[in-house]
Amino acid sequence: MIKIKNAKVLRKGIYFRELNILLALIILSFGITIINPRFLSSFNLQIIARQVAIFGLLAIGETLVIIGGGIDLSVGSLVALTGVLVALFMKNGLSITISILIVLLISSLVGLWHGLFVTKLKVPPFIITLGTLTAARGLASVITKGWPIIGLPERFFFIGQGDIFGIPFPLIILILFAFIAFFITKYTVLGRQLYATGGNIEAARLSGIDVDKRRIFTYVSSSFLAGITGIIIASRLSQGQAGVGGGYELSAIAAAVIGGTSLSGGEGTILGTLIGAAIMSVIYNGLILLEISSYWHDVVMGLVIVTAVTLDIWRKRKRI
Amino acid sequence: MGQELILKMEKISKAFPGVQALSKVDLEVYKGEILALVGENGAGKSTLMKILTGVYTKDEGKIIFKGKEIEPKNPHHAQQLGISMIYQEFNLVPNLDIATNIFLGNEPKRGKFLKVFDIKKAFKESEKLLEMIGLNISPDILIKDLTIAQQQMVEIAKALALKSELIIMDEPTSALAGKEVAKLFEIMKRLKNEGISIIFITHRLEEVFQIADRIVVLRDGQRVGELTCEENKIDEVIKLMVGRDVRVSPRIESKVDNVILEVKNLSSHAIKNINFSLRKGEVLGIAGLVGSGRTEIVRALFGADPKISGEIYIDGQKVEIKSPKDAVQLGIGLVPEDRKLQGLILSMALHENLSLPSLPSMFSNGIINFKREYKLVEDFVNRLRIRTPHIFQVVNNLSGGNQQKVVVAKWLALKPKVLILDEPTRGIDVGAKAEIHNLISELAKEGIGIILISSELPEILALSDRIIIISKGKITGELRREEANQEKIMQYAII
Amino acid sequence: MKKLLLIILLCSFALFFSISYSKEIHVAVIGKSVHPYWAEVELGVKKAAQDLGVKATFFVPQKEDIPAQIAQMESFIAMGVNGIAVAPSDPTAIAPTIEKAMAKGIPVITLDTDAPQSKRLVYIGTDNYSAGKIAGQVMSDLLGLKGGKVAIGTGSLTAMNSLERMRGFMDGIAGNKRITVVTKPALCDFEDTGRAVTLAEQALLTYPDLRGFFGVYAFNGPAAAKAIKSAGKVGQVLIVCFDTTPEHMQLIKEGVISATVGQRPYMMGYKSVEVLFKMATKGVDTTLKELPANRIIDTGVDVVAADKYIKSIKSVPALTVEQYRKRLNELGIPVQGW
Repeated sequence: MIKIKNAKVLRKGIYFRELNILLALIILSFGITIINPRFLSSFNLQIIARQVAIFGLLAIGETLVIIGGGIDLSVGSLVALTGVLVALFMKNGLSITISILIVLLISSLVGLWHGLFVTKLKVPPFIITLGTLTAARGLASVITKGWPIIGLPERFFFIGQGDIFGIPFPLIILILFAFIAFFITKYTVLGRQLYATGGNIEAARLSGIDVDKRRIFTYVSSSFLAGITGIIIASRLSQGQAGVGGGYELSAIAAAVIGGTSLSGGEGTILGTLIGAAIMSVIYNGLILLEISSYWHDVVMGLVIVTAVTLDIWRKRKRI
Repeated sequence: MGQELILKMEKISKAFPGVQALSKVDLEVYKGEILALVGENGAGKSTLMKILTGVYTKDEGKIIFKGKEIEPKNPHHAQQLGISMIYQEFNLVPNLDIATNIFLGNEPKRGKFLKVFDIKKAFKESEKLLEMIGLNISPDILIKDLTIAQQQMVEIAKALALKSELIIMDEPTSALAGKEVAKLFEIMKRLKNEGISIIFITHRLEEVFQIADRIVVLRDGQRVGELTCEENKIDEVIKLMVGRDVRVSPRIESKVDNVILEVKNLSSHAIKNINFSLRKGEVLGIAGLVGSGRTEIVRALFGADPKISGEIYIDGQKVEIKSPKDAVQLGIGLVPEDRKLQGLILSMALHENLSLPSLPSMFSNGIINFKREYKLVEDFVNRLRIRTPHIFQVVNNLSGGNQQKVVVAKWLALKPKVLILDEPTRGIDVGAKAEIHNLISELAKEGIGIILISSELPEILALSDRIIIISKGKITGELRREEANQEKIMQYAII
Repeated sequence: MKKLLLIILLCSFALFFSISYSKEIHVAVIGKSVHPYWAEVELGVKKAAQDLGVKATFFVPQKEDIPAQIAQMESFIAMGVNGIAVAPSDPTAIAPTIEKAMAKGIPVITLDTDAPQSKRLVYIGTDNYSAGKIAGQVMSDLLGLKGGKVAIGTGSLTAMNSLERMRGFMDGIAGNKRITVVTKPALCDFEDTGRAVTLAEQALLTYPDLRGFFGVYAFNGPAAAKAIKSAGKVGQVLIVCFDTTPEHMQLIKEGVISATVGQRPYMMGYKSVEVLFKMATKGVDTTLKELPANRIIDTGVDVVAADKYIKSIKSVPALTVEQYRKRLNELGIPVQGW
């Protein structure tokens, strides 16, 4: 007979795989603090928090897509486009709320577009989202002609610049969506079906799962969160800027991968991704606090990603 | 047979997290001997062979090969020592020719400084090797143009090119037809006469007695017995393998009730105008040759393949099944023929696989109640005697038979009206096979309508109330249990 | 669909022939991307075309895109224009196309960004080194005898314009021994405005006694301004930067940015057409003789400073916002948003 009790202990042992990277994050932060104690100053923690919020929101969407067996390369450009659009709408007299809602609707529709191409027309996700990567940025520059859209309502700036009891508002937004995503992946039928779809799409389909709908859901989530991020950045910069977000998709994918998401699909956790995003932000932050030459920044980031992935594969092999 | 010892494995042990895969296993192989290594899935055969070929490292024990102690570091190292393994999945490159494949990683070189692949020499050597194993085809044919049997022979030639003195064959006959098996055995005998030793792993016990000199039986990571083949006692081997008597008992008759499923004029890309009905508590066997359209019938019924035409009635009600989701909601379950590719999500845990189809109906608000889920899973793990350290084990780590039980269990958890089993016992060991047979009887008794597809005619004959036979996408015959026998089925199957 | 294609094809033929058979002088200017900066170049191009009575076509790709520039340049060559001015996104990649045009007898000059290895006849644009040096001198004047730590923010550590500006800046501050540049060599944001703000914030944190910030690319100045504002260090950390967008001008008025170095895109556009016109009418050699021997026409820069700081700037001439506005008005450049 198999008993739940001892099994529960086992379950914790097996499933708390985020412990490794959490330890890495703590050691990293500790190390930086020793060299430059200003790392823990509230001003710096706010800088990190804003950065984590941006990486984190995109990485959550990316994690969902990757768990479902896809990839979304469009998020960086979508950040630029949605940021420009929200500024454009407000500039044209729409209220803040309406502008935000329309932008979120548009970004969700972009996700739906990706999802339909991937599921119904069988276009590889890499290709269709690559198309948006180029097109969305192009569209952003068509709209702005390169000029930043400035003169936005003051109240809008709270989203990106404000804080509540010293906690930057973007971090609060991140926590909200992270909690939702965490709940979905861990405690719902939908979440379980996402993992199944990414793990083995044929087996999932034959188990009676509507795999197309599940995959569409992931693309819509990812684009929606890119829309949220775009709005936050526009608010933070007090302007709609077509030039932001370049390469954010890769940072988001990297955060997910550092957090233990498997690029082959079916594996990954929201908690891991958040820690991954935090690690990336802390490293970016630390490189400057430690006064390391800018030439080395990307080299370090590349090494971190490779190390994280290698360690993950190595750990999985050991577990067999 | 010379009594010269070529391999001696002494007290080999290996543990994986949660499982003692091998404990103090001894194995010896003589020169020019065919040794059959049998045991249920999960008994430790593969682990033992993977230690021998350097895939895993042993925890303790000694390997003595040709009188010297060896520590194979990896398969390549093992090959250099003279030990080759031929896996069920071949390691051939489909787009290269036979000669290049035979010498892949072992290429004859020409030239002093800039060493180049000596293709002429490779071709000449390949011709010799192919002739030696009796495969009369040109070495410049591409691998992808060969039959499975021919590919296997190329694998053997590859092992010979490496001058292997010990060849391990893992389930070499599972993908072969009758004639091809005979041919393979002929080659094995030829190799034996050349003084090459073979370790032969198989589930088909009849074959063991046809070809092997000696049989070693493993169970639960231990060596439980050794027999010579002259004794010819299949029953005894089975008993050793499962540790108890297993009788493939004829099915308990169940009360066959009214029609629950009716299929009219079902057509898809591979089948045409299929009509049949299924009653409550009935086992309907579908027989036919591989590629006859057996699987395609159930796939079209289940909504896995698009239908061209056809009507389906459940309990007399006409239903629309456009996708597997529809079928599942109507209470139909499908155990597909390929459990690894279609039945399981290998990266997920046992409990997640098992509860997957049931989740939407169990938790209609969309939120999983883990307590209820674990309870369900445990019930089925116990009921089907799925051997696992705990219900959170990743299914990939379970043996084939236990994996298959998980696939069956995931549908039983849904309390289906109709359960379709496509090759439910393929590639699983005798013990698990018998358990699945008993389960089918039990389920029918409980009133589930069962459709059973199998390539093994004795299985179909023993379990089915009624058998329909398929050939070229059409039903060519229907037999009642009393009138059916292998000859009649074959007659219809080759129409 | 086919019909539409046919119509487009016929139209383009008609256009092609009408251009190649007209006697009117036709010059072409190729910019880098859709951006206000290039809009100002276009303005200069249009004004020169009007003044000189030539036909001038201005083209920019959606974003920096060297294949698009080459393709466009090739079609200008095929049209047989009388001269081409190009701002190459990649100076090396454009060289063969420049050679091709020159071989066909079409004079080619570069504007904004030079392609020194190519066979271009003249380069018209900001000399980034001297512009950077001016910025350095301004910084040196502003920090005065007290000197202090200076951080640099840029969008690229590889692009020539960024490197030249930074080299010039270092030479510009070299006279003031009390100034030290703390960044190694500069904080690079890869042209991401969001990242530029974060980096500037971190620079303020890492070097609490920072006194100056040099913004190399257009967005670096406003990004630093944002960081300095939110850290409450306005007046404590002085910003010297490049370009004169409405945002820059607003921040100078507020006194958050101390001084900015404005390029003269209008002049680049105007001069390009003018030089090409001369080459087409007077001949290439005659024109070249009238130009500087190094074949570089520096369009120069305008230093615009906040009222509060203008008196400190002594090494180079500087304008107040109002003076600058006046100058632009004289040139007929519309002033929007400030």
